[in-house]
Amino acid sequence: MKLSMKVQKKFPDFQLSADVALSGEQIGIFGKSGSGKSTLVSMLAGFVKPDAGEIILDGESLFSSSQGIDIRPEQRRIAMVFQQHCLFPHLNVHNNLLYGYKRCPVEYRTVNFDTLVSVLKLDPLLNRAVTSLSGGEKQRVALGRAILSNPRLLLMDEPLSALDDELRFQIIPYLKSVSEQFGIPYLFISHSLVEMRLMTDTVLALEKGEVTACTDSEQLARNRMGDTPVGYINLLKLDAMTERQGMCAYRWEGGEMLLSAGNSDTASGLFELSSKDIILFKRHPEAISARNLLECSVESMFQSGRKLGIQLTCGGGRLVAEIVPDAARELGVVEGTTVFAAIKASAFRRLSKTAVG
Amino acid sequence: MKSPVCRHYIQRSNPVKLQRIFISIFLTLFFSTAAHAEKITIAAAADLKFAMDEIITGFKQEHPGNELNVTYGSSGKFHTQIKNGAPFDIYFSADIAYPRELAKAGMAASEVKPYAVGRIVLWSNSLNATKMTLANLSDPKITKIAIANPKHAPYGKRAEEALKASGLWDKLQAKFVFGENIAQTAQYVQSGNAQIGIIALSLAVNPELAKKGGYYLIPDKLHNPLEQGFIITKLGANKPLVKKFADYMGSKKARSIMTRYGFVLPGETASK
Amino acid sequence: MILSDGDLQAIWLTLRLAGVVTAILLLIGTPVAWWLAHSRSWFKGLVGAVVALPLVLPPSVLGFYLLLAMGPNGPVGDLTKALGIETLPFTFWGLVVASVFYSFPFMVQPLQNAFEAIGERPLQVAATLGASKLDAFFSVALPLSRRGFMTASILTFAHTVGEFGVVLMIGGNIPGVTRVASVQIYDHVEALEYSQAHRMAAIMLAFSFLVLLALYLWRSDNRKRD
Repeated sequence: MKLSMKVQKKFPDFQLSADVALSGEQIGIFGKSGSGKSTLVSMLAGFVKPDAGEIILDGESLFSSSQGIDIRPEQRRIAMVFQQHCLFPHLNVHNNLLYGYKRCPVEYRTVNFDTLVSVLKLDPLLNRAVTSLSGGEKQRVALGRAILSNPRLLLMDEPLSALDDELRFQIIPYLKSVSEQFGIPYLFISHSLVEMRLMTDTVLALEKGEVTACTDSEQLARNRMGDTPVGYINLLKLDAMTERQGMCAYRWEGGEMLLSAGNSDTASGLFELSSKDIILFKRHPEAISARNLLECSVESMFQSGRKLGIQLTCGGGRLVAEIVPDAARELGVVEGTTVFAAIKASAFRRLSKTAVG
Repeated sequence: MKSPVCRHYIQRSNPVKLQRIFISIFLTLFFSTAAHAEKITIAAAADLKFAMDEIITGFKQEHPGNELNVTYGSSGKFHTQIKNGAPFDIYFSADIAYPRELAKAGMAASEVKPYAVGRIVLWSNSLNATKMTLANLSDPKITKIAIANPKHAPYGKRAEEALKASGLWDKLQAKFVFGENIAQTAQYVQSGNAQIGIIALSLAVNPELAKKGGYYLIPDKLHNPLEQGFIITKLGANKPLVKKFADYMGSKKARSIMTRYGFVLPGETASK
Repeated sequence: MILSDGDLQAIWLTLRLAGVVTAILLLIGTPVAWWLAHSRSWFKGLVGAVVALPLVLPPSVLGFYLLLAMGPNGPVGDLTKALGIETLPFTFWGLVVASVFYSFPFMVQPLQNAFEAIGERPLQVAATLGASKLDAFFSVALPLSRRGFMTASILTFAHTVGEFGVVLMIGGNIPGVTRVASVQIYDHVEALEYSQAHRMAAIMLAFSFLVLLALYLWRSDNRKRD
């Protein structure tokens, strides 16, 4: 998918101005509320008209102020999934799913109804009324409906923000597999960096109506590490839990992790660990209270704000820790050196029972 | 009243005495005006509009300082309202049958006095009615004829009688449009929505309508006489001004106004 | 026979008038209500106020000016003459035209509220799924505003049945053509025929009440299902 957007629009309280060329299959748009991301996407869908500019998707001009082109939303073949599912309450699930399919010209219909239903596990829901579904079920149906309309691009405007953590990370695999299986690229909007990293490769960052970055999601997370109170979120897939001395021992690609009993009542899952919660030692500390101590080598270092990010390799796994530059100097931390990373068992937080990403 | 000013100019005069003087002057004035300031409410048939306005003006000149409120409307409606306690002191009806009915029901404080005999005319502001008779109404060019609703409007009843007597009632059925009262009937013709209508003589001679069209006086032998009469209601019984007004209706001045406005006085014949 | 032939004729005429007016207003009022619900132009407020005007105009005032306008000396009268048809006062279609004016807000306002309640989002979604504006209206907006249509139709119908002042001014009280039930009852009262007036009024009241009752029961039933 190749998308070129060069648009400007003036609002009473801010000005939106973007000039980007994106290519890829899974692209993200990141920003706080009010940054203009929803407006940008609305322009792409055709609901908001830019004051001036051009929007070209896969070589076709969707909007051009200079040439007087403005293709109507229903002809752009761009589907949207919103934060509030917006299923049609007067149709049951089956008819909601088929709404876009019926209106898609026959030559464009590539998605098969039964395949989609089984991929999204919608079989048991087909005859249900929309109002009887749970939040997660509704979003899956909304996704299915959008995919079945055979769009050439899927826009998702914070589709997970209204769901709880467990549900969010359950649905992310669906979103990705559906896009890959049916070959439909998507634009994913969120204010959550974690979602971005799991869902997209390239991310466009917006702030107050202007594009501030266009990089891959991993790089974006590193760049923002120094500015956010939560630091860089390490995502760890843990499994094979066994109980040991009142704690939970998980297997991790970098070895073993001990987590406190409170937040671990499943055999496996996706966990988050902040870069701020990793303490580095130059030499192996004799005795510490933290239950996790890993020997790692420094793969690389990067500057982020006033902090220094340290990319560590620990056996088969990777972690990012953050320290102040002074500390790095004191410890003599440079690329290639060995350090010891200490992590408290209580520093982990479970995001999902299913291992995602 | 113990202000320094008072003490200066009203040396030694008793302040209480002063108060008494002021109060008595005030009371005298109050009662003298009260003695004259009466208010009466008149219910008058719609066709009396122009004539009654002038009569009231004349009356007020002879009896100044009083308030006369007059409401014009359908005689039938007034009859029903007065029967149900409407606050009218004196009631002029275009059909004497209504006040007679009230008197029989014991709601009148005076005899039923006839004040005029109503006449009906053909009137139009687009056709020359002066050169027409009832027979001309059959002309196919006339598509709409306005008459007052014969079911309850006195002038309408007489129009129906006259048309029946001329053998035209059934033939012209499809052309009739019915006004709720004689004023609305005239309005239908005035606005051009009906080319011609049968209205009250008193309305047709009024300068407003007279300058727009002439009329044909329908012979009174074709219909029952439209005796018009008034009564003083029980409400107006004890108001001296009401009695004075009732008497004024018989005065030379009032009678000449009535004649000028096309009302045939009881016992006389219509001019023209 | 509880009611005379004249009374029955008047009731039948009233129902016909209300039916025709409701049907016409459904056709005219729906696009107006739609525009009012979705427009963002500056004169939306102006149009809304004009639409609501008949709510505050005394009916006899409206009737009087319609009489002048539709008559041979008025603008509408000129139009009808140019089209080769007779002037509108004293005709059934004259009453229809006047009632369409007079009952306009009763059709438009409930519809406008229903359309506004749907909001923009479902229509945007429909568009992204390939539905044209007209398609979206029929496949999404209409089913979602069913209740609004019911309310608007019933209100318009009932309002036209109860109309009196306007009809009085421009109807001419012609039996079978413009002598509607409300005028018939009025005439009975004027002619002191009270028992007939009572009978007709009672039947009209009972009919209207049953219709409204049915409407409100149906609505609360639907609300439970939501």
